[in-house]
Amino acid sequence: MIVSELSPEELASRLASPGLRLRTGPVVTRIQSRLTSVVQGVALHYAHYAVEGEGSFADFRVRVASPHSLRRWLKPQVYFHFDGASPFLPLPANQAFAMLEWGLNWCVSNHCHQYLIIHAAAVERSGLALLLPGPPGSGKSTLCAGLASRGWRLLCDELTLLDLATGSVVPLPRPISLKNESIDVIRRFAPEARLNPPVHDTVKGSVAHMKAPEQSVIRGAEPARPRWVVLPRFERGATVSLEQQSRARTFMRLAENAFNYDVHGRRGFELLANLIATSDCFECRFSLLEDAVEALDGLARRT
Amino acid sequence: MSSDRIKGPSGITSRPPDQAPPVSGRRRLLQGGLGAAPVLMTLVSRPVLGQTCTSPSGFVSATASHPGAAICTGRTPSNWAALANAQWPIPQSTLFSAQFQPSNFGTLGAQTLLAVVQGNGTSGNPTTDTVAQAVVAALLNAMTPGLTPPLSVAAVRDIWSEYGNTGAGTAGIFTPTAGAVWHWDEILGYLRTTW
Amino acid sequence: MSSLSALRWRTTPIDAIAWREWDGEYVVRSERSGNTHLLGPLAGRVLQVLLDASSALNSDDIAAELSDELAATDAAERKAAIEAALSEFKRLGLAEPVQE
Repeated sequence: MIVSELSPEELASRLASPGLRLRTGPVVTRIQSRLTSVVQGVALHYAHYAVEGEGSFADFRVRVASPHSLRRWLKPQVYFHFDGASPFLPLPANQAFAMLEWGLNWCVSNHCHQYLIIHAAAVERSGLALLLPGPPGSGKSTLCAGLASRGWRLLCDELTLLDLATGSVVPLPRPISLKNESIDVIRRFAPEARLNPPVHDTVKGSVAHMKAPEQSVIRGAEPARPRWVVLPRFERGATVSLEQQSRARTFMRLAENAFNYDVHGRRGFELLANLIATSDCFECRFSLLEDAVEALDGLARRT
Repeated sequence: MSSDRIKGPSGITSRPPDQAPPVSGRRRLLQGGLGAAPVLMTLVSRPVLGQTCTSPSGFVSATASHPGAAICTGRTPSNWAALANAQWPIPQSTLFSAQFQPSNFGTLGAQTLLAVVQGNGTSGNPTTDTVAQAVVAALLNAMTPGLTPPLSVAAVRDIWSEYGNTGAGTAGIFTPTAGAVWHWDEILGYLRTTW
Repeated sequence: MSSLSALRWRTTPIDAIAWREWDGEYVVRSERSGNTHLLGPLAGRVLQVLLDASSALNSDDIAAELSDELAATDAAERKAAIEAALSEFKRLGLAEPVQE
């Protein structure tokens, strides 16, 4: 069963209690919340995602809630609870859905050590994966959203999961987080894309989420073999360029951006080395999203 | 690092990998010149004990060097020192020796956790006292329900145990992973990131 | 620094060092420290020479192994560069001088 098959009342009721067991890629999370913005966010962004049965195993149990105190009226806030504890300081109530998303990322990046997890976006074409490791501001998510809107299958926006045995990318399709100017860029580039209304004044500025394309969710169990590692570099006014990068330096970049590289020790080293050995590495400097997407399409066609 | 570029019809520059020119052994070794630094970059292994903490949403703003940093709500030694007994997970009068072994450093073992976390350790060695102060705070964080510090009670005790068994002071060490060796300053540096 | 030339060097246990090379640059992981390093071409070759050697080598031995690749360079500069690499390896726990 998928989320959209639940009526709005059933969805709200299940989220309130006992929680909705949502499958995202290989992870099942029991999500609880009575907050309207969270219910609406789930209804929009997770419409096509599978709901697991009541008795089934959940990897994580999370709750987004306002505090039980007078504070809830004075200065509305929300907490993210994980297995009953609150790993985060609270955020303003209007950031509740964003908090859910950040919290879900935290769950995976801190616990899913059966994978090597890289802070990178990834998209797929013809069974081959293009990895986009990049710090905030590099244009990673904008480029990811752009590619996902132009025929590439979204594998993930924030957390690239690598299978330790095969080195394949295991999809974790989730809403793509966009901030500030990217929100308008994507609205213009992909008018058909579904975005929830932005929240402003977050630590990162204005934030909105783009719904993962339906196909990426339906095909969420299909892994992809890494083939390209592209470091995005957004630079206002820059002419688009795709410059080949040193493999060894790209290796270091991936290791630096891996959440649990040290957990895996030598195995992590070998996995990344094999990935690099069979991938072409580039830096993509761009100002206009269309140009960057065209450049990467060209790369895929040539290879 | 040179990167050859060719201009494609659409003005996009790239070099198809299968056309990369072979680099001779001699030219390769001299790349960068003999004076170039031997080691260009080092990625230091991060302990797998737990995570370091940042501000809320710090996760999403994590820099490349600290991806996935967790958000912690632990308390510093001064925070703990300022709280009343009722707000501690265990009595302030609990002896250091009841929670940490070895404790035979000066009269450290016979002191209360409160005294130690206040910075009034009496091991006779200021370094040992400072590390003791930090581990007490870390222990209290680990014991407090509602806080989710990155270290468990057992992990905190292990840090002190190894440090103490290897001589404490400036000699004591802790090995978070095989081959990595921390002295008092690295232990303190790490513990400070957990609250 | 001149005392280095008399020392004979070997890597810290061979099976404790993982390395890969692409286009003359090396990435190396030490099991002992858990650290990962990016080495330039010369340092990478020096490490490789030490890994392949059946006994400890001094900097002259290493320079001899690399003589073809470094033919066009000044002998003193060559030796200094090799010793700089060895010195770094010692600091990072990748290689150590052998006690005679």
